[in-house]
Amino acid sequence: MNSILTINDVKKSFDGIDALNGASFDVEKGKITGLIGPNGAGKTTLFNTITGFISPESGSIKFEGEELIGKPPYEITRKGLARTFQITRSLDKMTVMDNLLLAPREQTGESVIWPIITPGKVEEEEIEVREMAMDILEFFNLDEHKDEYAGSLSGGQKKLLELARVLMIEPKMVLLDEAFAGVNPSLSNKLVDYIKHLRDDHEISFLLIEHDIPLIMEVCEDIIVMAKGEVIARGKPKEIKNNQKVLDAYLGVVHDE
Amino acid sequence: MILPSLVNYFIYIGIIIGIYGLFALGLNLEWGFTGILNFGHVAFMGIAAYTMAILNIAGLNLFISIIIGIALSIVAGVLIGAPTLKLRGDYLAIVTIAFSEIIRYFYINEGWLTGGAGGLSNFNQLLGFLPSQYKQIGFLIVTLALLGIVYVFLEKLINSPWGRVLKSIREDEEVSKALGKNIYKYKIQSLAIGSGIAGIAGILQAFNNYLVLPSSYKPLITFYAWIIVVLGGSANNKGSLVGAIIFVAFFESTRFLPLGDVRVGSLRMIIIGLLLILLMLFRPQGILGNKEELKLDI
Amino acid sequence: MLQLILNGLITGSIIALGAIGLSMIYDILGLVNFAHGDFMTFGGYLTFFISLTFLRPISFIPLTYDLLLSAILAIIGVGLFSILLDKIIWKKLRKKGAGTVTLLITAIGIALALRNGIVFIWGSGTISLGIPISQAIEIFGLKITFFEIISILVAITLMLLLDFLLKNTKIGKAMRALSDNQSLASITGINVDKIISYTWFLGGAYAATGGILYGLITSFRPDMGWILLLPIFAAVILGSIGNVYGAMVGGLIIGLAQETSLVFIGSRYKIAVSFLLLIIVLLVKPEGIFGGK
Ligand SMILES: Nc1ncnc2c1ncn2[C@@H]1O[C@H](COP(=O)(O)OP(=O)(O)OP(=O)(O)O)[C@@H](O)[C@H]1O
Ligand SMILES: [Mg+2]
Repeated sequence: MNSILTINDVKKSFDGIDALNGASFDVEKGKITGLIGPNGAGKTTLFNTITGFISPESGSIKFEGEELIGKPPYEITRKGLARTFQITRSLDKMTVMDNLLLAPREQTGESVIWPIITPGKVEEEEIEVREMAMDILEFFNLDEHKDEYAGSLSGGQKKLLELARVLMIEPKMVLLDEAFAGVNPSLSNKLVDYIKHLRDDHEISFLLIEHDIPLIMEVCEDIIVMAKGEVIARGKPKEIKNNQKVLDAYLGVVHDE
Repeated sequence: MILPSLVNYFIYIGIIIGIYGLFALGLNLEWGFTGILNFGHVAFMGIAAYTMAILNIAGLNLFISIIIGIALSIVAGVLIGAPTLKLRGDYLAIVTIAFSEIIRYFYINEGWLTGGAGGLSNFNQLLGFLPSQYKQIGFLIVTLALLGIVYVFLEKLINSPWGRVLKSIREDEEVSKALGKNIYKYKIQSLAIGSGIAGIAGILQAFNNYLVLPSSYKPLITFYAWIIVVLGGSANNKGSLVGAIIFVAFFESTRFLPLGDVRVGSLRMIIIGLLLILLMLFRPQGILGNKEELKLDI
Repeated sequence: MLQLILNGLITGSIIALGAIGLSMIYDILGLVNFAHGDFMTFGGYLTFFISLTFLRPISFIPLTYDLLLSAILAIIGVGLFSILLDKIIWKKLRKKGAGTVTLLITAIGIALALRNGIVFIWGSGTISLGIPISQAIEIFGLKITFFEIISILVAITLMLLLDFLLKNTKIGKAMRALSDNQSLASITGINVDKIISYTWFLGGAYAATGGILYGLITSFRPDMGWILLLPIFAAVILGSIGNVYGAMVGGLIIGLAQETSLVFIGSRYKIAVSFLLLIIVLLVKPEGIFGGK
C-alpha cells in the first residue's frame, strides 16, 4: 500500500484526560478515507495534532515520509497538507474573494518587499490567482457573493467557502472536519462528486471526519473508527457496518448524540 | 503685521499635524491592520531622535545620522518584537509600555550620552542652508512630503497580498496559520515598519523643536497616537490622517482658553478621556472606520 | 541593608493593596484597568477634600481622628465610585461583548479624565493635608516614621480581612467561584452582576487605601497612582493574575526588589527595576510564579 500519511502511537492528554491514547493508522494515497467515531473520540484533536496546532506528548506523524511533529502549522500546510475547521472559520471581515486569494502557497506578493519593487509581477500573479478563484467560486455558487464580506454569508455558504479556500491551496491532501454538516443534501451530493473528481483527476487524498454515516459509507473506500482516543476498527464500509466493536462504541454514547 | 504671524501659526499647525499623522500611521499599521497592541510606540520615536542627535553632535553628517536613527528604530522594533510578539495581546501592551518607560529612564539617567533631563539641542538644523524666512515653510513641505510618501507606501502595501495576510492575522491567527502563513514573521515585519515610521516622526519632531527631551517620550504620547487612530477609525489610513487633524485642531483651539496653562491642559485631557469612553461605548469603529471590517477586539 | 528591606516592605505593602483589586478585576472581567492607579490617587485627594471641606470647619475633633474619618469616608467613596463606573460604563461594554482593546482604551479614557479632573480642581502640584511631618523613630537602628508603621499595619490587616472574606462569607466564596469559572458560576445561580459590584467595591476601596497611605508616606501628587501602576502590574503578573495571595506576595517582592536594587544599581533606576522584572516574568513565565488557576 502506498500511504501518504502515517500516524503512529500518538498520545495527547488535556488535564489528565486522554484525548488521544496511542492512535495509529495510515491513509492511502489518492483515496478518500473516512474517520468516524462518537463525540469526544478524539477526531478533532487528531486533526489538530497532524496539522501542528497541538503538540502531542509522544508518537510520530509522517506525511510523504517526512516527520510532522514539531513543525509549525504553516510549514505543514506548505507541504501540501491542508485542513478545515469543525467550527467554521471564515474570515468574516474580509471579502469572499479575499478569503480565497489568501490561500495559494508561495505568492510573490506576500513578501513585504516585492509589492513595492516589482508591482507588475505581483499584479500578474494576482490575475492568475483571481481566475482560479473565480472558477472555484462558480462551482460552489458563491461567485455572486465574491465582493461581499464573508460575514454576510449563511452558515452553509461559509462551510463551502472554507472548502473552496482549502482547495485554493492546491493541496496534496485535505483533512475535512465535518465539512458536510449543515450543507443541504443536493449540494452535499454535488460536493461528493467534486471531491471524487479532485481525487481522480488531481490525485488529492482526503481524510474526512463525518457524523453522517450513510454519506461516509457512500463516499469512502476506507473507514477508520475511533473511540476514546484509539482506533478501534478499520476497513471497507461493509465491514465497518457489521463490526460489533463499532456498534458498541456508538451505542455506548448514543444518548448524548 | 498680524498676517505673517498668522500664516506662520498655520504652518506650525500643519507641521504638527504631519508629525502626528506619521506617528499614527505607524501605529495604525501595527494595530489597525495587524492587531498588534503596541503601547510603547513612543519609544521608537525617541530612539530615532536621540540616535540622530547623539551621532550628529558627535560630528557625523546629519543625513547619515538621520538614516542611522531611523534604521535603529526599525532594528529596535525587530528586537522588541522577536521575544514579545508571541505573547497574549494584553500582555504585549504591558510589556511594550514598560519597555518605553525603561528607555525613558535611560535618557534621564545616562546624562553623559543623552544630556539627561535637559536633553540634547546642539544638533544641526535640517534646513540650515535655507534663508531664515523660508525655513518654516520649507520644513512644512518636507514634513508633508514625507507624510505623503509614507501614506502612499502604506496604501500600496496594505492593498497588496502582503496586506491581505496582515488582515487575516488581525482577524483570526489560527486560520492564517492553517493557510500556510508564518504569522510571526508578518507581525515582526509590521512592527518593524511601524517603528520605522515612528522614527521618521521622531526625527521631524526633534528638528521642529530643535530639541530632544526625555519628557517628549512619555506613555501619554503613545496614548495620543491611539486616540488619533481610534478616533479616525482603525485599519483606515485616511482615518489616521483625519484623526490627526481633529486631534491637533482640538489641541490648538483650546490653547487660548483663559484658564491658565495647567487648567487648560487638564481640561483638554478630561475631554479627551471622556471622548474615548463615549467613542468606545457608541462608535468603536471611529469616524471613518468600517463597521463590517473593523475588528477592534482580538 | 536591613533598612532597605524595611523600606521595601513598606512600598511593597502599598503596591500589594493596589495589586489585589487590579488582579481580581483583571481576572473576572478580563480588564487591564489602566485607571487603577488613578483610583489610588483619587482616594488620597478625596481624603484631602473631605477633611478640608467638611471636617476642619466644624472641627472640634483632633486632627488624627479627623484624618481617620476622612480616610474611611474616602475609601468608601472610591469603592462606590468604582461601582458607579461599572454601572454606567463597564456593564454596557460587557453586554456588547467588548473585548480586550475596547476595554483597554476605555480604561485609558477613565484614567486620563480622572487624573486630569484632579489636576483641574486641585492643581498639578503637591497638596498638603496640613499635618506635621512625622519624625522618624529608631527601632533597633532602623528608621521608620509613624505613617510607615501605620501603612504596614493597615496593609496586613486588610490582607487578613480579605482572606477572611474570601474564605468565610457567602460573597467571598461566590467571588472565588466566579474567578474559577465564570459560565459555571452563572449557571449555579450566583448573581454575577452583584458579585462584580462587590469586586469593584473591594478593588476600589483597597486601591484608595493604598493611595492614602502612599500619600501620607511620600506626598499627594496627581500622578502618584499612575507612577505606581506599572509596578502594580508587575506584582499582579508575578503573582499570577486572579490570585489575590499571589498579588500580595508579588507586591512585596516588587517593593523589595525596587528598594534593595539601590545597593546594586543606585537610586536612578529604582522604578525601572520593576518594569524590568515585569518584562522578564512575562517573557519567561507569563503565568506568574503561582501558576495558572
Ligand atoms: N483544548 C482542549 N482542552 C481540554 N480538553 C480538550 C481540548 N480539546 C479537546 N479536548 C477533549 O478531548 C476529547 C476529545 O475531543 P475531540 O474534540 O477531539 O473529539 P471529537 O472526536 O472531535 O468529537 P466531536 O465528534 O464531538 O467533534 C474530549 O474529551 C474533549 O473534551
Ligand atoms: Mg470534533
